Amino acid sequence: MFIGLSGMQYSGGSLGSHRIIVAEDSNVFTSMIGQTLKENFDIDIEVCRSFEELQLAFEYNERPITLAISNINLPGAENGEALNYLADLSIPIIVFTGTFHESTREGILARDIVDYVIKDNILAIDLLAESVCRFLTNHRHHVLIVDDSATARALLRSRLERFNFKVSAAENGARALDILKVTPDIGLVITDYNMPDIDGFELTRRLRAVRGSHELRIIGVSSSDNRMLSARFLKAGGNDFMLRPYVDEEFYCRVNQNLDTLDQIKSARRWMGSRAAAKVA
Amino acid sequence: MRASLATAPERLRVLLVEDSRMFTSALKYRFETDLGVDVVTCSSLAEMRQAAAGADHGFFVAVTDLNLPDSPHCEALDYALEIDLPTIVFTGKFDFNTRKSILKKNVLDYVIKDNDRAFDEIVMAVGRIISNRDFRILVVDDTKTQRSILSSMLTAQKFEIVEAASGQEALEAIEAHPDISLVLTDYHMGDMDGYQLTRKLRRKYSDDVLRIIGISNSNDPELSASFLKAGASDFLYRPFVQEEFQCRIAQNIGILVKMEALKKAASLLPIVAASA
Repeated sequence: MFIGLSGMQYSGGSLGSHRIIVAEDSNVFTSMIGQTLKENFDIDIEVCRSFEELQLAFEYNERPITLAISNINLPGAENGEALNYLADLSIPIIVFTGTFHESTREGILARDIVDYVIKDNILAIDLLAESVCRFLTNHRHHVLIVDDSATARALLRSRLERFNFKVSAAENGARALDILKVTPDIGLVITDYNMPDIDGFELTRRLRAVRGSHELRIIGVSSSDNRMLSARFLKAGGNDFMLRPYVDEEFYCRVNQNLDTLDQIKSARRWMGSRAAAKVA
Repeated sequence: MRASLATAPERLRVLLVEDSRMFTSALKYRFETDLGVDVVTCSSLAEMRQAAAGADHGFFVAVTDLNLPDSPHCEALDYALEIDLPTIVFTGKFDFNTRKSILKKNVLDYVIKDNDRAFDEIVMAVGRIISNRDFRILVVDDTKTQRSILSSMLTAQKFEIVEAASGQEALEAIEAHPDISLVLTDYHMGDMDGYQLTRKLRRKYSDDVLRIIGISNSNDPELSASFLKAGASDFLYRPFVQEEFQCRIAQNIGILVKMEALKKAASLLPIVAASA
């Protein structure tokens, strides 16, 4: 079983069917990345050491690229052209960068990337492996967005789909309850507070009446000018909450942490089940 | 994680103050079976005064209804505070005024009993206070006042606390106390910032044995990004909202407990398979 640094666990089969490009010119890193992804997920990476190699990899091989792990700068693309190139082709990107500056961060986040990993410490490769595994397996998780604003729903949806989650959306509380009734695989609800029919608290209360924290996680969303809303969300049975406007890293962290917890509970229950079965046998 | 105190021979005593008989007997049963504690029940403030009279009443925690027939204005809570008895309250509904007034009185936690979940919530709240004693938290901040605020919030929740006034002190503290399970660190410090401290800690301790929670100011959200990318497990915004603070700490401690159980399960699995 793969257990990632921030708590993700994966015990499924090979992820080798995905085409993954690594655009990086340092041999040390490419070989470490290659080895880690092979060992843990049976993935054979395709290495591109320059911008030219990256372009050739796309143009001369029609197999769709699932994910690109790319440095910001490559030989032949000293000003982030590789990221623009990949972004223009709508290829999901995990940026692997040597530095963390406020300006770098803003620059890379503006491109709607999946994630970024700073390669300035020994954990970088493990963090990268976890990030890759999350992206390739996030579709197992079904997330329900509840917000009465179409714009907010669309923004949240594109954000979640960027991470490869399965997404449904509801424009009010009543609709959310309906969807949940017929969609048992939803594991996470992200709900706004202000809604015309029932507010986020009331929705949280009603959801909790039918589904416990071990099978459904609920994250409330409130704007940062009223911090007290978070208190109410949590007391209504919410597991967590986020402040709007979202900070990318924070958003992904909250969502992941809650889904990881759900996975941990599930495997603990499975294990107890298998133990009980073993005892009976 | 420290050796569990729950196995100690002496059972913890919980004082339950509630006037609904149905509620009392259901809760008493849950406390006794789920948490293994002894429960003394009272249905009024008068009975509570009798049960808790004398300095040697021996109660670990009180669980009390906010309003009782002879205590319409939180007098039961006031009495508990008067005799220094940590208290978890339950209340009929959530409103901001009630919240404000009970939090001002330093309650450990509060539960809203407006649905079936309330029983579970109260049992969990008491359970958390009991198990918190098994965890040590390192508080890192170079401002003494801030350290004290954090420490007192955590001590109230029955956690064991170690304080550090700098990054260096934090690194030394964790060497000296290998049982620390969670580090709560500020960002701005004299010798190193929270990002650097987090990275240094992460070189030695991974997320499944040590949780690191960074503290950011709500007017500088990018600090949270920096913390997370350095390997922090989580972060909190200052000024703290008590419910938020407790939720983050409990969530991270909960993850540690689950990871521990999973690792134990993984190491036991072959044995189970062999015996099956």
